[in-house]
Amino acid sequence: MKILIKGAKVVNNDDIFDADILINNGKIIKVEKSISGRADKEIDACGKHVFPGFIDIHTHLRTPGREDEEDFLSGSKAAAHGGFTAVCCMPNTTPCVDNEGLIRWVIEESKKIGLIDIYPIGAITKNRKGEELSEYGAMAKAGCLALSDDGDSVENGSLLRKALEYAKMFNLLIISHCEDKSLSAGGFIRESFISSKYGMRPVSDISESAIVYRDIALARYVDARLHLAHISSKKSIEIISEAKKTFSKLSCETAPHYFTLTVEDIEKSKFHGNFRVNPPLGEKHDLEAIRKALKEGTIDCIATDHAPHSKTFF
Amino acid sequence: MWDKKHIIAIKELERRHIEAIFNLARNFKELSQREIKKTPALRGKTVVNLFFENSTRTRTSFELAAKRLSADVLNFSASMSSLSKGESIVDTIKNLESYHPDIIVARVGFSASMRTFMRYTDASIINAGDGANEHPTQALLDMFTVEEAKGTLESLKVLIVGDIRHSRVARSNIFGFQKFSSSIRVCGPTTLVPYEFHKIGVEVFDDLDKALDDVDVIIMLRIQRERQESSFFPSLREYVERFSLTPGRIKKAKKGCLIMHPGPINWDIEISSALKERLHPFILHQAGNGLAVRMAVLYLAGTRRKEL
Ligand SMILES: [Zn+2]
Repeated sequence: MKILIKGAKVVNNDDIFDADILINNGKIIKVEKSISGRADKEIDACGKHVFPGFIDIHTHLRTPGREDEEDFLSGSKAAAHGGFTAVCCMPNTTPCVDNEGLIRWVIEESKKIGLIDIYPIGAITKNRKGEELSEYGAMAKAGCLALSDDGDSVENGSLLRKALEYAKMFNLLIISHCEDKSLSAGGFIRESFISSKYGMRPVSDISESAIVYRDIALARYVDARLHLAHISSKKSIEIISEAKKTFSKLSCETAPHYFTLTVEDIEKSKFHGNFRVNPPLGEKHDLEAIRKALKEGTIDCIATDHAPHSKTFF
Repeated sequence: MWDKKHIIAIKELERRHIEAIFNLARNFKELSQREIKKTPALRGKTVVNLFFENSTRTRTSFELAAKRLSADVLNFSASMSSLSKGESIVDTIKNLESYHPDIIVARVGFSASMRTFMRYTDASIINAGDGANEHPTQALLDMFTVEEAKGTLESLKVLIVGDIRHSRVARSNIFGFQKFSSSIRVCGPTTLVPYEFHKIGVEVFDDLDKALDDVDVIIMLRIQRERQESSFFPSLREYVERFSLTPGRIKKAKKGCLIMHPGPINWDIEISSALKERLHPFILHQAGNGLAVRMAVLYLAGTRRKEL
């Protein structure tokens, strides 16, 4: 089956140009100005931008365990609707995706739907408890590409060091959720004038940047790959930017809300629950630093941290 | 000329020392096959076995070696935990000094601590294992066994597999075989193999299938369950999957390669029990060779020390 997309504005990583796109049996075979000839289906894309399929490396599909919030079908549809052809899903599910059986299960179940590719991320520690390593070798064999205890940092530094070392054997990427819970516990809004004004339990940006610093130090020490999830503060970016000068195995992501919204928007919204995210929205200088870091490449990618909640959560 | 009062570490020996020990060990091995297995070489001398960690094998091997040399043997065992009750290793050594021991065979849990003890005794000290640092007589018997089987210690490819980080046997063997210009490989989970060893020319592997390629000698180390409990690897199942020596894997090594293990073996963990038959003769050799090597070491320390 041949599909022809006409008159598109094609967006590539390095260029934007006008072209037609010819697809044969699901494969792009030609990107050229005015392709003629017959196709089974023609799409008029005049005045529209055409992007390569997006990949979201940080989502929560809530399955297994909270299929009332999201399942692979609703998650696949949501992704495809937004132009995502592949997503990685975090293992903070019930049961936790910390073994080869569940890795295999996620891949098989998502293939049955077949809308997008779903890549499960395995847990760094068994049941994400931060106590024992999970079986990386077995999970890698089953198709796992990365590991994260997302939702929590691996609090025990010695254990994270072992995780980074052990993951190297299977070329698995460790993804850190950077949050020192002793600094953030109980809080839900960035520590700022606004949190003080309303007496809300605050989270300081240090709860992120302190762990950013520690995790980079550990990864560098054992020469392992490390990715930092949902970076939200200027302080973290300063540390990452400095580290990247000499440590090439480091990468990081931010999420759309951290370069579009600030803690002031929470006040403007009259404290609407939709503005409650973790890590919490930062201040103006954080937003500006993140935009700059995206432009300069200090931040490698944007991930959504798509994390549906049921209404009863609020 | 023998010029060592103490035998603390393979690191501190030269090739000629090791060769001298082996020459003697060959004689003592022959002696062990005679009807009268004893020699009066150390008659009137006192050997103290001072063990702060349990090790029936090593202790009995040293004990028998000393007895074959006609020395008086005093076994002193204490647990490391008794040290917390106030008496230190140093106190124990000072107390033993009243017996005027000629040789102290010591096993302690602290790495590289033997030199400290030397200050409190006139005896020659033989290291029977100090923490994760060295276990020189184990390496000497391993090398002696390899030399017997292969006829040489030169230019061999030696692979050590398992928990290198915590292994005194690995360290002594690495430094020992290197003195004969054999090439050394180590292989184990990345969490249990100190990468720094590459700085002395040791090849570091984390994949046993690759590490086995063309090796002459394989030394399999015992894996301790505590290592899993402290998360150096997630499960024995995963360890076995990647690091257990199996009949299939062994084919990648050189034909007729030698398999060794300091014992006791966890069958089907370090080594598949299907290889039992193949290992059996070497395990017997190792015990006999251990005795001969320890006799040689005790002899050298006991008879030459006056001159030093
Ligand atoms: Zn997270």
